[in-house]
Amino acid sequence: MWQTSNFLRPPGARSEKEFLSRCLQCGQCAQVCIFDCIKMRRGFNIFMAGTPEINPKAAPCYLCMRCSEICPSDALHDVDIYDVRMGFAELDRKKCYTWTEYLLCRSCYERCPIKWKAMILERGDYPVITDECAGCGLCEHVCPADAIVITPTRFQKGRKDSGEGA
Amino acid sequence: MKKPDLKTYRRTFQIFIAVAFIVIPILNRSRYSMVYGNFLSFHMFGIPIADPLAVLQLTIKNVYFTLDNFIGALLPLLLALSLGTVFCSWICPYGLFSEWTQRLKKKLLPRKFKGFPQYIHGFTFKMAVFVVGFAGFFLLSTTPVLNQLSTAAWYARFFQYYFGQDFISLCYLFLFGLLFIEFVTGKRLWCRYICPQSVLIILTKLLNPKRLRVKFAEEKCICKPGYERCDMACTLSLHPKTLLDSVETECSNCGDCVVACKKMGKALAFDSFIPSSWLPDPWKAIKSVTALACFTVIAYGGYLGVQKIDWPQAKVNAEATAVLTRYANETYVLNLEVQDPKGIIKKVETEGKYVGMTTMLTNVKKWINSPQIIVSEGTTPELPITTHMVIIFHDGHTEEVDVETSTIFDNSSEVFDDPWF
Repeated sequence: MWQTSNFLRPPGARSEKEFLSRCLQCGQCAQVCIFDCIKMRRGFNIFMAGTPEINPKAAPCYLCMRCSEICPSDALHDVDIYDVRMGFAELDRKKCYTWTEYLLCRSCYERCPIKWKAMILERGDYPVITDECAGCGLCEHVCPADAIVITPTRFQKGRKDSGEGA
Repeated sequence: MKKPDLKTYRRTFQIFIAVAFIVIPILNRSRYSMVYGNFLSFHMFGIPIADPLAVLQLTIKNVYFTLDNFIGALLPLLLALSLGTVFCSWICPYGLFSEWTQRLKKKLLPRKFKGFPQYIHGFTFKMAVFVVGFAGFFLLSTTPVLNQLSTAAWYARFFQYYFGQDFISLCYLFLFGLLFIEFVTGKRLWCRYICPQSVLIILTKLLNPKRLRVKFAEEKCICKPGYERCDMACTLSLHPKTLLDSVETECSNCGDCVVACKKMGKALAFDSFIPSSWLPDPWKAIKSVTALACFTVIAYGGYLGVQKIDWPQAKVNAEATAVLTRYANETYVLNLEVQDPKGIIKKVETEGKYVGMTTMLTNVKKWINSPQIIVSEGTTPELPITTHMVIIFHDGHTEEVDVETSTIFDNSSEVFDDPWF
């Protein structure tokens, strides 16, 4: 029954309050997710139960955007993957293998779906996460050193959600 | 072959729906995604169907609705407008289990049956509950919380949780609790007095005075007073003979009383604005629906094969190799490799006599050690060289392998050039 409150919303989700008021809790996004990363929230909180969540540590989002395409109530806004802002990845340079010059690891860069926009390689080798980061959590999922942590957008002040307006 | 009566059709359809919502999550799990959703919102081959109350809650809170939701809510409302609240008696899986509970009660305790007392104001009570609930939602909540009172949705959601994420939701306690209370009291409590989802479709059906309804012809009735077949048959313990307007709002047009009366005087019959000759023959309808279903299954079979995405399961053993290469000046270089074409490995840790770095690198397709390991310079090393590997997969399980060098590549014409330096 263990679950974290640090979950992400699926790509294209509006701000948390607006998302919750539009989500029908029908679970269709979880059912069309081919990567099984969207889970329906459990628990006894009647405002949250049945809404979708993503835990990138267990299964990250691959930004296939099937979920926002089919959402019947527009709680997930159908946006381009470059406009998705689910969260923000932070890289701990003291743990990263490349930054500590332990070895040359490019696990995160190889898998980033928005390569060279969300993640660039400084001096050709050292990964740096830019403001374009969609927060899908793939890099957190693959990092062998556990150096990357995703913070959901709703916990960040000053960062805009995806899907402005109707 | 004896033609089945209306009750058989109804029961079959109810069971079909109840089973369908068990099968749909399993289909979705195997990547078949033409039908998905639960009773709050549902998609079937691109046709949306939604719970009108859920859509009303969204519309009121956001002052905005999508076309998808509008059509989805319109379809059940149109059904209610023409045929009455057939959703409750023909589709709702909770209704099915509730009816079975009442039948079980009748079978276990038959002696206690002394006719049903009449509860006329079921709808008034339900409306009061609905108004209080909706006011609570309007004042306190921005999320559609009344969705959590939908027993049909909880039924579907249990299987969504179970087959979608291997989690046994505790909502079955809620459903069994309700059924137990209904068993003890012997009344359809939830359906008649509380269910807020049915209020909107009841209000919609009241808009159409010529909707499908049960009519009673008094001169044909031959039952003894107090032993009416229709009273015993009624699934909602109403009195079908005395269906006045206040009681008729509760009637869900299940047709059980009509079936029971067919054996007696045929005094009860359906009456609607649609001429009976227009209505499809149920037997023909079922045959054509079955044919259509078979056609759909075959037609989408090929599509299913295309749609199915074989997502890697981290259950295969890792393919690890160790290759020793001999360069000029008796330099022996060890190359470790773990094949990972689908990207299912998170981390590989190596340990051995000559291995300096404990972690391997990936280019997403395979894992290699970098820098390359220089085993010895000038002398021949002792063979075989064993390397212990701990391979950690994304799904959490680990595999341990001991890799031995099997072959030596002779490349002694070249001088080893270490790219690391």
